[in-house]
Amino acid sequence: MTDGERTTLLVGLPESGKSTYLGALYYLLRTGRDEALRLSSEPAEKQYLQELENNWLRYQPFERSRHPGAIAVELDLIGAHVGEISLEIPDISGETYSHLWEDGLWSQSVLDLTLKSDGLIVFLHPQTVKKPELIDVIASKDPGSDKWVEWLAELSPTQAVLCDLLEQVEAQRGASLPRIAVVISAWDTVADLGIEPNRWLELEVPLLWQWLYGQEGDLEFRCFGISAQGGDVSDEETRKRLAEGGDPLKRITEGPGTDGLLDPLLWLLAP
Amino acid sequence: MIEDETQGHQAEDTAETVAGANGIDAALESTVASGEDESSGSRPSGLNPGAGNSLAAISRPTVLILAGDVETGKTSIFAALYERFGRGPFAGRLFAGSVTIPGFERRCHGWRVASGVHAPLMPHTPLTELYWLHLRIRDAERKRPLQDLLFADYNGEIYADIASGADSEVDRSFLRRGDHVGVVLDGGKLSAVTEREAALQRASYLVAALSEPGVLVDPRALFIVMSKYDLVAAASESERVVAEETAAKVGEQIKQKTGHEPPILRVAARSQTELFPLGHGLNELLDLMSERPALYARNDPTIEPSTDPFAGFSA
Repeated sequence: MTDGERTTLLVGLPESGKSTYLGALYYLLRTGRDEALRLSSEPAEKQYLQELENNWLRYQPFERSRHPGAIAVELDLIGAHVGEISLEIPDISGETYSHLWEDGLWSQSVLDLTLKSDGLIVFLHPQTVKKPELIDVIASKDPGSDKWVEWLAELSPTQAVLCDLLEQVEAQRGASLPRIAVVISAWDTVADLGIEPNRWLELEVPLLWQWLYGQEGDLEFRCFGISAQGGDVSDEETRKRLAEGGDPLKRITEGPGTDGLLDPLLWLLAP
Repeated sequence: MIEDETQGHQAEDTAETVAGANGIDAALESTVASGEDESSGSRPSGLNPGAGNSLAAISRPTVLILAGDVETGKTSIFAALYERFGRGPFAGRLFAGSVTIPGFERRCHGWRVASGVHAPLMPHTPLTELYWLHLRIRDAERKRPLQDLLFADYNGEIYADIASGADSEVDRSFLRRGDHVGVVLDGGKLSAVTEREAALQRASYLVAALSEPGVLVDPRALFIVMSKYDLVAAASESERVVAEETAAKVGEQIKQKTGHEPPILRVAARSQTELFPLGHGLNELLDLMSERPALYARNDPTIEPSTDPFAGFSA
């Protein structure tokens, strides 16, 4: 018997950190190291989640999820503040979101999940954010080296794609959006800036920040800075350094105002 | 794995919302050729009033029409507004959304490094593309309601036909929906001695045509945009003076028709020099759309607020 059923969507383009987060989250929930939220029973999708968890535990860079659509993940959870809940948190591939931007066509499964979701976690990876870089009109006057590239949707800046995805979600849901947690993943790569996650979003992804900040009504959003890997695990030296720390959870780093990996989820699940 | 059958939900919804298209919608629908982008299943370049479910989400928009010759910089002005918001709040306003982000992205592509060119390029708007662009903005203090703006991004040849009185297959009833109608004067031509007179003459014909009874809902919607102002600023002082005088002549013509002196905005949407930042002068355009009465709405008091921005309009 649970206190309720909840659905959280992980939204993000390829390589934005969704799968890494899910792998680390599963480890944390499974081991019950944080009383705020833990698994109350084994999930049906244990095998898939163990795969993600194992990759994370082995300090492996995550490959892009190439499965089409969504992989169902349902977790029975118990926590001090949320009681017993059943959380549906499907792993939707970044490619699925890319295709939504490119053609605006919704698969039935993703549409159903979108309509019933009561929380979104939007992922941004500072190293894969594509910016709208303008041609420097002063520096470049040599047309000889021009090679015109036709517009392709995939060339678009990340902020445009994510704003459009939120527009589409809003339109499908009839102009209502659930709470939105924005997770800036790989926070360790921008921690030196000494700014809060919300400020990072405002400066680095300004169109999305304005979109979220400028809405009327009840839209609630909050930014979190989280590094589930703790460093660049494509670098052998970094992997060794992180592994020497022993406890895998020790490598998780957070930005100012973020208390841990569970923070975005707990905020979404809060009454 | 969740069963995953891709379906064209958006397309289905679109068909549903097309029902009830009225005057202007039907007119535009009949003249719009299906863009290549739409037939191939990718996102369209903008809104087609006769075929967009997105319109249902736009409540009582302020409609801006920029009328001017081919390559006077109309599309660049719309693109620069979006591009400017892409760098942060602009002119005391926030970007609060758009249902035509893919359309803006297409238009801005030639200004970006990703296009592979070394000088900004804005492709000519095809005659077959009769699209509207949408921008939703809000004051940065978040004290005022959201404002929906619709921009008619139409090819300059349409306006050339209007100016010359030539027959055109394009229905012109969209002009009556304009709350604000800017006559765009190419600053580069106004400051070039060999081009100036011809530009003035064409603008005069256009103003005369737009001022005729029934073309606009009220000719007081007219104002002037001197585009490519970076080229005016880069010209000699005497050329600058003459360019300003030429724009003033067009302003005087409008004043004679309406009794009101029209605003003259000086805009450098994408300056080719370091003289002006991206979107120079567009803050005044936003001010105009926020502060000046929306003439269409004011002259049609019978129209009740509706989710369909074109509801109640009859060509």
